[in-house]
Amino acid sequence: MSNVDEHLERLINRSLDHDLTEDEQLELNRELIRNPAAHRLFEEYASIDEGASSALKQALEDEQAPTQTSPVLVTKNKREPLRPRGWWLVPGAIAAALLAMVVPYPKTSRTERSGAPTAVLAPPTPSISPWAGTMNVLHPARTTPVLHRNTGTDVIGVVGDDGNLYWIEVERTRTIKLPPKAGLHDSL
Amino acid sequence: MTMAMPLANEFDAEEPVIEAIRAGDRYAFDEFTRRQTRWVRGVVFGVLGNRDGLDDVCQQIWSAVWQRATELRDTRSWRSWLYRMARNLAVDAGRDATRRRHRDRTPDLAAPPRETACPAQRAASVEQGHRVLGAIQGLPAIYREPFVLRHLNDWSYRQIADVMGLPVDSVETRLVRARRLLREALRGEQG
Repeated sequence: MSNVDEHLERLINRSLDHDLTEDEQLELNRELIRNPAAHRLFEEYASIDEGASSALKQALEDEQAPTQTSPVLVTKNKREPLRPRGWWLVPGAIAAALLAMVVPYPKTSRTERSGAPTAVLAPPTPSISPWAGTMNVLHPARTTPVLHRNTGTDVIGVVGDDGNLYWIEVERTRTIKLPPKAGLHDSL
Repeated sequence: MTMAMPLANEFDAEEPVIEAIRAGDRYAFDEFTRRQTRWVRGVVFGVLGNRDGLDDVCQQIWSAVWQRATELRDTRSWRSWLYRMARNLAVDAGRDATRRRHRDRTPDLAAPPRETACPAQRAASVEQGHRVLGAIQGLPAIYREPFVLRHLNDWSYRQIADVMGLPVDSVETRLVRARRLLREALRGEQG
């Protein structure tokens, strides 16, 4: 690079990076015509750039497809369970239906017994994400992550072989959402 | 597809997406990762200098983004926030990989992964691509990082400078040196 000084090399670089002013472009063009070493350097750098762009795009994108699936689906800590929303209602609903068919029995929640405030579990509110239009997907919106607990007792009446009525109490406590906050790189 | 990156004072279409992610919208998150994955992979590659563990680090990054989006104070600075997160995780992964190599006394696998497997019948352009990729991997990280961002995403000096938190002149200088080193490395191979 004996005949190409630092300034000219910078101009060549900026030209390849599309960062030249009009005056600088004129200056570079003059130098490229006048100076064969500069012209060779320009062509070498252009060739490197072309090879680098395609090599990088190929190298970093050909292995990308498997990770394109929702990244949160493979993480251990997440703000959303993997199961469909409302899955936890199914066993409770079955138990409640059985209860209603067999015998009326007052339900007593654990939180009420302990005097702690009762957690109110609101049904999911379906809405359309502002990004649904972009993605052509309708989905329920998320609220601020909160730890919900659904605590209660289901009671089922069963007639035994001896003809007596037996009560089966089922305690249920389920964690619905858990936002993990302790995490990576607290210094970030 | 290259994502256009807005300059200062321009409306950034990703800001509402970030807000949605902060509110826990996983679909916005999926869309966000799809659009930003290329340059984030470029950052990780720029730091690691190879593709070993690149996917794992990217998974960690997106997991961290999802978990820590609410910690982002100013959504306008999401890009530098994401860059720092990606870079820190990649640096950690690089350190872990180095420790493992020392412990296991295995040869350095940071060399171009596919270079040796390149059959002679391959097209010259493909071979050239592998040679260039190997040379990029051999660059010092401070030159490799802006070079990858420039060539993978076609970002301007200003855009690279904004994300990396560097003066524009420094970005330009690093790119000049990166090209110079690449040229020397590729000439050395030929000679």
